[in-house]
Amino acid sequence: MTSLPWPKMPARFVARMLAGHTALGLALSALLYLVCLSGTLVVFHNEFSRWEQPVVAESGDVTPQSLQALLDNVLARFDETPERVTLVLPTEDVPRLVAGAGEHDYWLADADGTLGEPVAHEFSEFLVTLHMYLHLPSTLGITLVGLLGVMMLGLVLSGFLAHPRIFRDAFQFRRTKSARLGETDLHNRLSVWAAPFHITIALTGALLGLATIGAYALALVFHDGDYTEVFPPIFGEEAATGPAPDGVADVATAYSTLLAERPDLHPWLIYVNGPGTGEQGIEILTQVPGQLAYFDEVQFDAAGNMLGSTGMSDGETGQQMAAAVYSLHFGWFGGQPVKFAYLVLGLALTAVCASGFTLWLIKRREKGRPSARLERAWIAVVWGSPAVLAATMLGALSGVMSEAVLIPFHWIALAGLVVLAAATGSGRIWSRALRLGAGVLTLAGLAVHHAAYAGEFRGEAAWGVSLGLAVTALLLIASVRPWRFVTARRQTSEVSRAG
Amino acid sequence: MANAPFIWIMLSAGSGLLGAVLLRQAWRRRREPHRIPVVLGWLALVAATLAWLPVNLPVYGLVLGLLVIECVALAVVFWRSGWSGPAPAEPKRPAAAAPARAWRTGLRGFAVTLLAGPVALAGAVVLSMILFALAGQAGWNEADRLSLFLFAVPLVWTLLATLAVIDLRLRLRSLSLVAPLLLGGGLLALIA
Repeated sequence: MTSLPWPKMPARFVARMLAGHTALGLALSALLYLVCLSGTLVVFHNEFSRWEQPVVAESGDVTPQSLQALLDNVLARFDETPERVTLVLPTEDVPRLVAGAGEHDYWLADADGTLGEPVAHEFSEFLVTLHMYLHLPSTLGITLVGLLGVMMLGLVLSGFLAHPRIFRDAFQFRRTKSARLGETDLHNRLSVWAAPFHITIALTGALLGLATIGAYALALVFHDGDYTEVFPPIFGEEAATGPAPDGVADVATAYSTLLAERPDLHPWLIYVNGPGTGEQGIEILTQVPGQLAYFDEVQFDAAGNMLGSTGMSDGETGQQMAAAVYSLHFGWFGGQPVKFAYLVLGLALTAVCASGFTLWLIKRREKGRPSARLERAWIAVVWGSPAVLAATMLGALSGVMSEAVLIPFHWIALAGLVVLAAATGSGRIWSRALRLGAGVLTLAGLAVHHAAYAGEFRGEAAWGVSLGLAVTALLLIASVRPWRFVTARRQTSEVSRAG
Repeated sequence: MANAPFIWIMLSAGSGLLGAVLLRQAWRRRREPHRIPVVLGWLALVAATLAWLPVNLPVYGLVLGLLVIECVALAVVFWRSGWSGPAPAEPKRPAAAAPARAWRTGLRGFAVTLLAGPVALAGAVVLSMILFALAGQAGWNEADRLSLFLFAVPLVWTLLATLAVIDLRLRLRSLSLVAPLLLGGGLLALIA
């Protein structure tokens, strides 16, 4: 029999690796599962944000003059001039013009630069902060998520070393023989075939999460503790600036110059630093079509003269590698086909996380040490998470929950479900109830959304997200096989009538 | 030629599908000689990846090629097997005796967590900083060595954390994690 190229390893080494693989997986399974699930959804963050405000007119047209007017209109909204104003230009992904400053004050705008309604997509932001920070304070949260990336990378490494036959059995999928074999095959097959994706996601996620504390360490040892000196070799420094000839930075000229001088770059974000002051400058972040680079940046003085670019897309190798990390992690580099591939592979990764812990529970049961409470609690994590996310979405869309309530509600509801499941009921009932709940709550969210906006949708993203959510909800409900309940009830009533 | 990218993408998808099917056939006939389909299958997968190179820049093309292969292969795995839902649970066996001295297991768990977490992280940062410093001395530019450092931290942490959790004597694991941390710290103090 031919074996695939994979080194033969001593059984003792394999057993040790398997123990390590199990220990790593068990340590942070629930958080890893949550991060994978939310990350899969965050791939469609732009579409979710458009869906939450579906009646906004979408257009890709802006002119240099309308951008200048937009900057003036934004500045007029603030009593105190902000340190930086951001103009978000329409792109293929989000064909909307947005402008504002700070963390929360942003408005949608018409193509002529007139400000409209405030940006309000609480649920999309909730998803992003769940995935990137687990809703913790920024440095702590992103470092914890980075740690999860490291653990995931360790799981991939130890998983391959612990399973010498993993390639030879690359197509083995015994779904019906026994719970353990089925779960093992599901876990291993998804792990083998999606391994490049798993490694990419884990490494880029870990890098994004650990960059901050790594930079602090570098600053301490090599830059006398000055953190601001660490990243400029990759991301560039803020350009030397001066006052603008007409008081406010000339965004129109900068934009026109960029279009003329760098047709290879698509303008995406315009930062106006120190607007109205004697130290103004303009940075235009651009998308780089056909490349993995998440962005490049071109800098201008306050009069709109081009100063140069940071070279994220065509500079040093290290810059290009760093620029690709974000795109690779979120699948934001090849349009909708890549996003759908990330959706499939992201769901596969989520399933691997879930099946890993389930396998451990099954093996425990087979060894005569079942843990019914833990099994039910794990079911509450796996199926309770989508149910609670659906409830959070419903709360956000219906206006019942304000932005400040979404996060505490999510965590309290999830913790409550886990405690309740651990305390009472059977695993089968919890699994069915939570899947049914997730489906019904998603449909309820859709109903609320359509009641508010039906007939006024503009842009395909609104329809796409609605369709995707509807299909997901129906699949969740169908997975419970509700028709079995109807048949069973009918049979019971027939038996009792006959009796 | 305007259609060239489309042709390469179709070739890649076809080759990916062929590779996955060949490997599946090889696996189905694994009790017979199956070296040829195995080799052809892997070659087809490599070809499917390489077919993306002419489509765009090399790295971009490779990434897209890998994505196509992964999705096609998963479809092949699940296409024939279907998704029949979880299998019934096995009957319970008699309960095994609870492991003795649970407190000791707990303490070991805590020690392993410390090793795989903060100790391995500190080791990863120190070793990555040594790489950063050495790259500077070798004449690397700032952007490249910073990027090296950023990639090295999670990779080295992964290796050290894996070492911390595998089933070796705890003393040996502690030594193999703490020693590089101390040595690396000393070396860093010398070269930084």
